[in-house]
Formats: sequence, C-alpha cells, structure tokens
Amino acid sequence: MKPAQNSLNNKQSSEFKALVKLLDAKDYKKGLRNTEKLLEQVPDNWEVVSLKAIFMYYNDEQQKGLELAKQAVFKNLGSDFCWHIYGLIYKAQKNYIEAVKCFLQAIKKGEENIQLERDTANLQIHTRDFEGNAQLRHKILTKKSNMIVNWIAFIFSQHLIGNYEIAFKAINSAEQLIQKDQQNPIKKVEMNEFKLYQIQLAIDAKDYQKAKQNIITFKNDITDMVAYYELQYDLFMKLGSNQEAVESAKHLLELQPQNWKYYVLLKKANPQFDLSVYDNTLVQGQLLAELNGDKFRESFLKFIDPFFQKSLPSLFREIKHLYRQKEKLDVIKEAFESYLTSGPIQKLWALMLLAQHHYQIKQYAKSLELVEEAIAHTPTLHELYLIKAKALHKQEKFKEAYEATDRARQLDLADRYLNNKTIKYALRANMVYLSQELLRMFLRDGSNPYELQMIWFELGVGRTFLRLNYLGPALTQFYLIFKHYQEMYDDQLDFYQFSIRKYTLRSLLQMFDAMDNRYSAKYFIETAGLMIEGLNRLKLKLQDNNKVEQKKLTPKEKKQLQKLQQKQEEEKQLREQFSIEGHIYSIELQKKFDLSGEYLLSKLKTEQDIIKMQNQFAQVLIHTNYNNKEINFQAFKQLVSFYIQQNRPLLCVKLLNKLRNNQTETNQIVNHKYQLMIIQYLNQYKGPLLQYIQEYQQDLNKFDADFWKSVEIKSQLDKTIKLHCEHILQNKPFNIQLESNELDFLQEYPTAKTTNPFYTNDPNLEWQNNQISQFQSSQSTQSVSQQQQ
Amino acid sequence: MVSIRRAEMQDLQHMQHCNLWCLPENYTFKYYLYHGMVWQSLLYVAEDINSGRIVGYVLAKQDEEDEEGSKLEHGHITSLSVLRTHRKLGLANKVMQSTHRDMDKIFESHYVSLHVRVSNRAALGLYRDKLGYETFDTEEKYYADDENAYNMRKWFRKKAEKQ
Repeated sequence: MKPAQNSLNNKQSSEFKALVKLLDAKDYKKGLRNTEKLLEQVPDNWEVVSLKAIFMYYNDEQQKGLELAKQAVFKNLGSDFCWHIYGLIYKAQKNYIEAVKCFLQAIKKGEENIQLERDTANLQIHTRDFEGNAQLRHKILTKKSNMIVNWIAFIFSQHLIGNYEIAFKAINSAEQLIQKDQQNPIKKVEMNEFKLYQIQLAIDAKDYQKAKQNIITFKNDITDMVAYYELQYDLFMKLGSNQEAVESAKHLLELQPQNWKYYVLLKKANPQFDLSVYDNTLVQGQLLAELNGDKFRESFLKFIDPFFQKSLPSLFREIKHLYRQKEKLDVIKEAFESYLTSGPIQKLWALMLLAQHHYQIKQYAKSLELVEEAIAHTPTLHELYLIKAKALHKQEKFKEAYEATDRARQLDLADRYLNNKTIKYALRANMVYLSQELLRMFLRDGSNPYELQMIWFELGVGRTFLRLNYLGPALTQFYLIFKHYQEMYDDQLDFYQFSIRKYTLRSLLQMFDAMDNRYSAKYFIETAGLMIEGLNRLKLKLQDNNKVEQKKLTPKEKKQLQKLQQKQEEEKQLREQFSIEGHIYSIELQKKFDLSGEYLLSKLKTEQDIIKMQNQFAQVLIHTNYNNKEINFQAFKQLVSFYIQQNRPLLCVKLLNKLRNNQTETNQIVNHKYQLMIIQYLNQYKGPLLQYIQEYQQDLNKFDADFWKSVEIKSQLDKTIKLHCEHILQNKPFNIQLESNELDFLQEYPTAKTTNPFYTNDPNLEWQNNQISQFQSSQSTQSVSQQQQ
Repeated sequence: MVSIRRAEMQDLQHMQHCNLWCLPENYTFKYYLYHGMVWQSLLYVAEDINSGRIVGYVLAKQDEEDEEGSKLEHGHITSLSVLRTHRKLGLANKVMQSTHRDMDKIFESHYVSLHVRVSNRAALGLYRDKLGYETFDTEEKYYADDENAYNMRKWFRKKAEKQ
C-alpha cells in the first residue's frame, strides 16, 4: 500500500509508514494506539483517520470503523489511500461488490499499484463481474505486457465475455512470448494444459475448424490423453462426425475401461454399437437390464455366481438397478433361493440377499425374519445388522434400529463407517447426547464437527432437535451448514490468480460451474427445507406469545405463565453446567458456534426478521435441482405456504412446475395437495402479473376430482390428505403438518412449549448414559486386549 | 454398479463427505479445492451409478522436491478411501492405477509416495503386493494417535535415472 505524504512533516511521515507496516503485520492493537497518538498532532489528516478506521474495524468496532472510513473518503475524495482503506474494510466484511468499487476508485486516483489491480481483478472474477474484469486485465496487460501471466489472465478474461477473436489473437502473442522467454521456460505439463485450453476455447467459440486443426497440431504437446480424447469426442459430435466420435470413445475406454460414462458416450455416437464386446462386470451388470425371459435368467445366474464363490458382500448393490423392472423380481428371488441349499456359506449369502430383496420390495417383516435367520447362522457379519437396522427403521422401531447398528459397530470398533451409521441411528432415536459421545471416538483432540464441515452430522443433529421442537439449537445447526456453503464459495478466492499462473484454466472454468451450482446438493436442499420449516414454527410460537401478551391474562393463566418462566429460568441455569447441544465441546467452542442458538434467536425477534431469513434460504432453494425427486419435493413443499403468504405469484408458478417435475409414486398424493394450494392461490390472483399467471389458472374442483379418480387411497394418511384437499376447496383452515409419519412428534405443535426436552425427567437421558458407560467400558477392554497382542 | 472416472470439480464436496465417513484424517473443503485446481488430472472417484454417490476417491498431488531436498518431480497420495459398503471390489486399486498413470505420463514423476499406518494390513497388501510399492522408511508417531507410518514409494522410472 502506498503511504500518503501530504501535509505530514518528515517525522510524521515516517510514523505514518510505520503504521502501515503495523497494518500489514496485523498488529491492530498497537496500530490503533499509535494512530491515535499521531492524530493528536494532525487531527485533520483524513488519511490518518482512514488508518484509525481500519484499526478500529479490526479491534471489534466493525460498524464504527466502516462509518469512519466512509467519512474519510468523503472528506478527501481525491485520496487513493482513503478509497483503498475503505475497500479493505468492505473486503474484510466479505462485501466484495462494494470492495471492488472502492478499489477501482483507488486505482483511478492513484499511482501504479499492480498488486491492487490484480487483487481487484480477482475480486471481480469472484463477484462474476466478467466485463469489469476484462477491462482491468486489459489495463494491467498494457502496463506489463512482458509478463506471460498477464497475457493468460487477459485471454481468460476475454474468453469469459465471449470475445473469442481477441482471445485467439492474444494467444498468438502469448505463444510468441513463451517461445522467447528462455529464463523461465514453460513446463511440459503447463504446455499440456495450455494446449488443451486452446482446444476448449475454440470449441466454446464454435470455431470447430480451428478446434480440429488444434487437435491435430497440438497432439505432441499434450500428455493428458484422457482430457485430449474427451475434447476430441465432444468436437466430433458437434461436427456430426459420429464415426470418428466412436473412435474417440474407444480410446477413452482403453484408458478407463471402468468409466460407465464412456460406454454411454459410445452408445450416443453409435446407438447400434453392441457393448457386450466389452467383457467386464460393469458392462455385464448394466446390460442385464436390457435382457428378458430365459436369456435374463441365464445371464443373471452367471453374473451372480462369482459373488457367491468369492463371498463378496456387495452383490445387492450391483443388481439394485434391476428392481425398477417388476417382471424381473421373481427371477431374482428364485436365483437367490437356489443358493439356500448349496452349502453353509452360500446359504448365509442367500439369506442376506433375500433379506435385502424383501426390504427393497417393502416387505419389512419378511426382511427382518430372514436377516434374523442369517444372524443366527453367523452372528459376526456386520452387514446383517445394518440390514436389520434399516428394516427396523422402516417399522419405526428407532431404538431397536440403533441397537442393531451398535452391534455392527462393536464388531469393528476401528471402523468409522460403522461408527457413523450408529450415530445416524442414534440421532433418529433422538439420542443427541449419545451421538456426540460416539462421534468423539473419531475426533482428534481439539477438533470438532463444525470446523471440519461435517455437514451430515450437523444435519442429523438439527433434524433431531427440530423433531423435538427444540428450535434454537436446531436452527443453529442448519445455519452453520448454510455458512459452510458460503465458505466453500469464498474458498475460491485464493485460486483465481494461482490457476492462471498454472495454466489450469479448464479447471477454473469447471470450478465456476461447480461453485455457482453448489447448492444443488442433497445436503443443502434438505437443510434449506428444514430451516424454512423450523422458522415457520418459530413464527407460530411468536404469534402465540404475542397473543399471550396482548390479551389480559386470567389469574390462572398468569400462574401458568409464571410457572413457565420459572421453568425457563431453571433450564438456563442447568444449561450453564451442562448443555445437551454440545456437551463434548468446551464452553468457548459452544459459544463460538452458538450451539444453543441463543445468538441466532436474538436476531429473530420479530416476524419480519424471521421472514427475512426464510427468504434468504428460499431464494437459494428455489433455484436448486438435485437428481432425487423425493429429496427435492420434501424441500420445495416447505416453500408453498411461504410464497403464498408472501403473495409472490411468479415464484408460485415456478414452484408449481418444480412440484410437478418432482412428482413420484410415493409423493403424488401429498404433492397434489400442494399443487392444489398453489392453484387456488393463483386462481384468486387479480394483480398486474395476471397475463403470466393465466395459463396456470384452472377449475380447481375438476382438477381435484380428476386426480382422485387416478389414484388409489391406501392409508390413513392418504385419507387425511384427501380431507385437507376438501378443506382447501372450501377455503377452510387445516393443520398442514400432519401428513407424514416423520412428523408424529408434532402433536403438540404449534403451541408446544418444550424448550429443552432433556432436562425434565427425561428417561432417554438415563438410557443414553447407560449406553455410553457400556461402550466406554467395552472400549477400554478392547484397548487392553490390543496391547496384549 | 460402480464407475471409475476422473473427478470433476462438483465431486469435491462429495469426496470430502466420503472421507468423513471413512478416515479419521479429515480436511476442510479448501484443501480439496486446492488439489482440484492444480492437479485435477490426478483426482479419481468411484461413483455408484445407481445412486450417483461418490463411494471412493483418491486425492493426490505433485511435489518438485524430494524429502532430501533435491529436485525430483514425484507424486504423493494425500488421501485414499473407499466406503465400507464398497470394499473388496478392487475400487481402491483401480483409482490408484489411474492416478499412477497420470503421474507418470502427464507429470513425468519419478516415483509416487504415500503414508500408511503400520497396522493397516489390508492397505499394505494393496500397496505392496498389487501396486508395487516398497517401504522407504518408517516415520515414528506420524498419526495423531501416535501410531507409526510406513513411508512407501513406487518408482515409475529407474532409480538410475534419478540424476
């Protein structure tokens, strides 16, 4: 950073320089002290004030620091130094858009500062301001055109805004510079990357002749043949040269014969191609789906036999895709049964596979019966207990399911997978305390799931707390997950310049895609859905409380309220000694991650606050898409009442399409209810957006009647939902939540007063304590026996 | 069915997840991103094509300098794991062979190195017997729980070419 000089005498000027050094060295305390001393001499020097602002910012006075920096800028608009500091504060706040604006002002007003220009260009990439980035990269290039990295950055910036002709020209210059520069010769692997990138660039520019030429002339410079043939395949398909594309796919299969995608590419280029010439398990297994009748039976038996001979426990996963074809089920079952009498080991595998078979076709009692038989045969096979746990879970016997996984875990205490599975089932049985103890066994001293971004665990804990209507700790877990996804995005910052230096621009392009779509992941979608639901409950609770406050209380109600407040006070004291939400971590850590949710709840005091946060999640969720319809649906349905309440007709239309696209046999009835709600809302809409809405308006009664004609009502739940639908048609209120078995805990909802379910006479806590002391003693005996070995 | 393919950037978060389900040595997302941005061609994953889940991966990198401080381009296996449910299918072997090929062909590595717990017999069997690694030396208390590690190497080029 360039220190300012004006109006300071020599001594002051060197003090100023020393302050800038303190800032670089991150010595903020001393910095603030010394700045204040200097300010006593020159109270009107706004550049010194700027320094004070940033030191304040880093001394926990964020808001004041930012305001002071802003003031300094406006008092001294011409100072690049003040703009630079102002930008640095925004950058520290992760407000990159504002930071870029400030840095651009600093660059405009100041002298050369190539480092600042480069940082700003990287921030522009980070905010995906590709136009601004291209301008700045051009400026940097004209200043320092002897540096190859500036050329590469410039080419890439032109690529991003689609100025391909300029990019191609710049590539020629860059190539010449590379040839000339003997002092820093380009590495072979960098040349490989650069050439691959040029092919990609030509394809992106739709200049297929150039791409074809590149593919031929660059071949000797390219060592990454996987990338080479993938680009070649892509190009030939775009040119319509399918026969040549087939050859590319064959090359790829020579390199990676286990990559199923390449077989798909081969078929795409030539639908007549007979994949059975590739004689491996992958192809054989996939091709089973295409066979029928005796041919299928014969091939299936041939396929499964080696798994029995080699005792491979993973067979079921290899053939699971066949369960989409109902006509194959009997053949599969008979094939497994044929091994029941082939010998004791074969019998064991046959029993296990049959248990999996019955699980898959939803006959859980039969599945359990078979797996019990297998366990009686061989009690030491951990796979059996996991199958048992799955079936018990489906029967909603959560504690028993936990016990089954725990048996599996005890068979191999060093295995993290089995430990994690046990945690998962412990959480499903509402045993948060126990799950943390289990997790601890695989956590290094001092580490914790939050710093390790252990999303699956956070989601499980959050889901459990939500199930128990323990809202603060639940929302905190979801919020932490949301932050991980934001961190992920910001992790990119270090790599823009880095990757330009390394020529790995193709990876950089892929990173943009992956990070821009990072929310389209199972865990995020689940999290967002649960967060919105949790916030809904918080909103209802708030409304309840407001009712209590507004109406005059009867003496009896007053007494009740007093009792409740007393209870809350007791719990608060208990929490200080012991917290269920994070008892294995230090108090500091619990505070740092706000595990009790106290801080988060303090930001959610009004309905407006809650809606704002719901919106934060909703905005992201509505644009996601994941390849599992059930998971998508469970999350999207949370948005329905939210967007209706918010009166957002266009988003409701988008949501309606999302619901329709994620309809499955399992969710069709619930799905219909939500569609009905949206259409009813759209039908009543009369605002200015009507022309976009009209095509979705329809006769609600007919829509509903047609639907019920097409489905079979099987369960009590289906009947309840049908009742809901009738209420919707009559505009009557109903309790929206009672639609899945997962929500049985909601009986007392929405007026549930539970704050901490674990404190008051919780039988679970005792049970969990028992479990914990059990596994602690078994662990110590195991380590003793290990030492003896 | 499991497909073995080079990792894409969107696999990184799922590789991290897989790691958290297999090993006690875990890293934040940024470390995966770092590997992806520099050595994407060395990252391979095993994907269950029915569910789309990542069930195994190898995270690898290159180093220009030897442990002894001399210049010698070589690869290093940062992390390798396969979910318990997908063991015995040879997946670890397959992802390793793919990354070995690319270390050799793309980066002209002289050798590849890795660390393994001295007690991990299954992994030792894979590295030594199937993949051709040799024990280079033993590092005392390499792991957080004080277990020793074998430092193993597999040579792609003859040791004579070293200079």
